[in-house]
Formats: sequence, structure tokens, C-alpha cells
Amino acid sequence: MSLRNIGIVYKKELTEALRDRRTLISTIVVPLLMFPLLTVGFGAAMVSLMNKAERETPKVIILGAADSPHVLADLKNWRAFNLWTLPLTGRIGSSTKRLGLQWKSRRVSKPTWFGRNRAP
Amino acid sequence: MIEARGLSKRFRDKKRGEIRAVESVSFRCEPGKIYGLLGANGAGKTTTLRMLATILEPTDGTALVCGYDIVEQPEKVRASVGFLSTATALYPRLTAQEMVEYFGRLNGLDEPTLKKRVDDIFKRLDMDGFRDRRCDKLSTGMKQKTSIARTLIHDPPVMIFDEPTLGLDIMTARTIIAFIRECRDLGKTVIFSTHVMSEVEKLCDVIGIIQGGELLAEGSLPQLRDKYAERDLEEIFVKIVAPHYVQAEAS
Repeated sequence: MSLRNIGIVYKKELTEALRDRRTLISTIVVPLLMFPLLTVGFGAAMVSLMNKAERETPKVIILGAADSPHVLADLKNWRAFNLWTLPLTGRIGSSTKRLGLQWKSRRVSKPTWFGRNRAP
Repeated sequence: MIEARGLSKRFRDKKRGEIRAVESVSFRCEPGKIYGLLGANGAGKTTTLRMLATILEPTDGTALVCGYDIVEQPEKVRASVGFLSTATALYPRLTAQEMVEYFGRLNGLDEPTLKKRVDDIFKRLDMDGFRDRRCDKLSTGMKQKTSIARTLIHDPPVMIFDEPTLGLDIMTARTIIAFIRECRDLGKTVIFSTHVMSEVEKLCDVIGIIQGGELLAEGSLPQLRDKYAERDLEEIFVKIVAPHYVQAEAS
């Protein structure tokens, strides 16, 4: 087939395609709407996730905080942490259970969740 | 001028094995005359015409169309042939004019000639009223006229019509018949296939009767009448075809 004929067929195919509403919608209108929607949508979701992560304050448990009031006060002033204070000795209470701590012969053992990604 | 020399076409079918659609068919069509290929359904009319139009390649034999060999010079043959059948489809989203122009360009017409010929043909076929209408919005008659215009645009010396009036109403069919006659009067070589006896009686200078892929009889209507001692073409046709038709059924 000559180059001229290829050109003629190409022009005819293009004319036909441009007059077909279904082809037009699926190749031009849908991408035109979908691409901005996807770009903006994904961007917004990412930003909101990042903001949420930034707002979240890490939990810090201080054992025997009563012995170091200055350190505790400094940490409190910093406001970067969600502070929990526990006495070094004591009975198993609701807060210690909730945190997964166990008292072993009057000493605190490693919490069961230690080393995992998230505190309870 | 068309000259078929031992044209044969065999197809392979998984279930039925080898099918001999056309078997060593030879005939001649002269310019300014209409050759009618008459046959029942499945007789091999369409296959023969498709081979002449280079749509199908013959298994054996060949044919000369305007002096060009259909096997060796198919492009030259295509340029000198106009092929029309009722099954010829149009591009639905092109207008009638664009459709005709498209085929004119593919046939190598330059723009000034194309414009002149399009205007001329549209006027002759009374198509100016719908030249800018899309093909999918045309009536059957308008579509058929557009098809005719498409086959005529490059002014081919040979016209091939494959059951051109099949499924058309009487008015549209008459337009086609008139058009076929006009082609003959213009000195074109015309071959057409049909199983409508009245069309053949009205139009054909030479009649070829085909059945089971073989050309069983050939001649002008008076010649066939003399040979088979019948006046009615239908009777002649049945006389020729019936023995072979039964044979074909039995095998």
C-alpha cells in the first residue's frame, strides 16, 4: 500500500472516530474528568493522612516519676508527649493492666507489647 | 472484457472436507454486453464473481480482466473493476459524498477530477438531496444509490454485480436494473449474478447457467430456447439444473 493510500485511510478512520459519540466519550471526556479527579483525590487523601499522623502525640510511660519531679515537669512543659506516670512499686491496677505491664517481684517487667509498632 | 480460464475454487471445511465451490469455469464477457450468471443458492455465483474482483484467490485457473491477470496483477484488476452487491456496506459515520470521495481517492483520482466526477454522478443518480447526510441516516434506496456511486467513481470499464437487487423493493430494484442497462450502453463490460429469471430475460445478452460450481450451459436467450426446446427461461433453467441438483443433494 502506498503512503498516499495510508494517509487517505487514516483520515477516513479519524473522521469516523471523531463522529462516534462512544469513542469520543471513552477517549476524551472520561480521561479529562478522571485524571484531575484521581490526582486531586489521591493528593487530598495523602495530605489528610499526613496531618493526622503529625497531630498524633506519642504515649510515654514514666515509671517512678515521683522520684524525678523535675524531669517530669520538663517533659510536661514540652507538650510533645502524652505522659503516663506509674509508681515503681504497687499493685496491679486498671491502668497497669491496660498498658500490659506486669509486676514481677516488686519490679516492673518489660511490657508485653514492647517491640511492637504501637502501644495499646 | 472478462475472460475466465478454468477458474476453480476449493475450500477446506473441518466437517465436510474439501468443498468444490467453483470447478474449472471458463467464459467470456464482451464490452457493451451483459453476461448473466444464473444459478440456485450455493451454485458458485458469488465465489466466481469474487474471484474476478480479486476478493478471493482462485485455487486453479485464472481470468483476465481488461487484459490484466487476476492472480498476477490484482491491483490493476481492482482499478478497472466496479463491484456491487446488496451486502456491500457503507461507512455509517461518513456522509454519502465523503463515502464516494474516499473510494475515488483510493482509486487514485486527483482532486479536480474527483470533484467533477462526484458532481456528475450525484446529479445523474439524483443524489444531491442527501449528499451531506450520514450513511447511517439514509434509507435503503439512498444507500444503494450511494453504493452505485461508489462503484462508478473511478469510471471502471468492467462492472461486476453480485445479486444486486436481493432484498430490495421494486422501485429500488428498478433503479439498479436501469443502472445496469446504462452501464452496458456506455460500452462497459457487465457481469451480474442472480436467481431472478425475469431480470435475466430483461437484461442479459449472454446467459451462463451454473450449478454445483460448474458452468452447465451458456448462450443467448434465443440460443438456449432453441437448444432446450422451451420458451420459458425458468423451464430451461430447471431442465438444465435439475439432474445435477438431485445429484448434489444425494452426495
